[in-house]
Amino acid sequence: MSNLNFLAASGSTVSGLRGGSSYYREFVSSESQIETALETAELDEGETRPSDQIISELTRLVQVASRTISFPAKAEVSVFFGEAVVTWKSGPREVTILSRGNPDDPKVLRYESRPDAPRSASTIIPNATPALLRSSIKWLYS
Amino acid sequence: MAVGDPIPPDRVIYRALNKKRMNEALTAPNEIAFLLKTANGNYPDETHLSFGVSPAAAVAGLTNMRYICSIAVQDILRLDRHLLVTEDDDPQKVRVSGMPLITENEELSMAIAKDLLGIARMCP
Repeated sequence: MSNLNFLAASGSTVSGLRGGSSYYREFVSSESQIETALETAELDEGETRPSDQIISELTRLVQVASRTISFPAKAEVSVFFGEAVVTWKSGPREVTILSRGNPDDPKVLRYESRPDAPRSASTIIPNATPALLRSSIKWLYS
Repeated sequence: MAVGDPIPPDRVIYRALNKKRMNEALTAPNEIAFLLKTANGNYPDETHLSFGVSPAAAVAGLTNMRYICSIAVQDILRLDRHLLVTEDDDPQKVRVSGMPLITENEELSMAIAKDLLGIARMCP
């Protein structure tokens, strides 16, 4: 059970998590926020949620990667027809981890918008490891 | 004008969004707002994103679409992603096509979705 689920089960309000309660921000880790967001994300009609295994693998990846590096405070979390999508942004750069349970998932996508160039730049790397995610978060700020 | 005819670059088109396709603060679309849906239930894979010729046209016939963003057609063409902006069989709708499904090409579909997000503007 994630920290957030524990708080919810204990009857505590969780509304502050998304908005501004410093109390919850201090006690709920980013991977727990990501896990909860994936588990509770709104679905379209007929849409399937990413499996528990996919969610578990992604949150574990973030958990391990964030032991030795600070992640941006806020991740943008989405689900899309079985795909789990988590993005961190800094200026023109974005790092996204994606998984739909394929053998080479999760993947890390590095994206950079370049207003002066004909098009944006991106690269995707399969079989993401904590080390790869750490280096990608460093790239976000380099 | 007929189905498939290109929309002039000087036009602005509008996309209706539900809460799922908005960021957490509900101030802007998120990247999945510009991904094609894969087949589900009785629905086949999407081949284009649906836009409206006006904000009202964007939401016409749709439910739970409380948010609308706009994109200038010329900004889509400037992305250099070989996207097509064309007439729909419904004269109030516009099709944006040329992007792959996320199941076909994760990198390209996500990059194009992020490109479109970068040029989208929320309507008041």
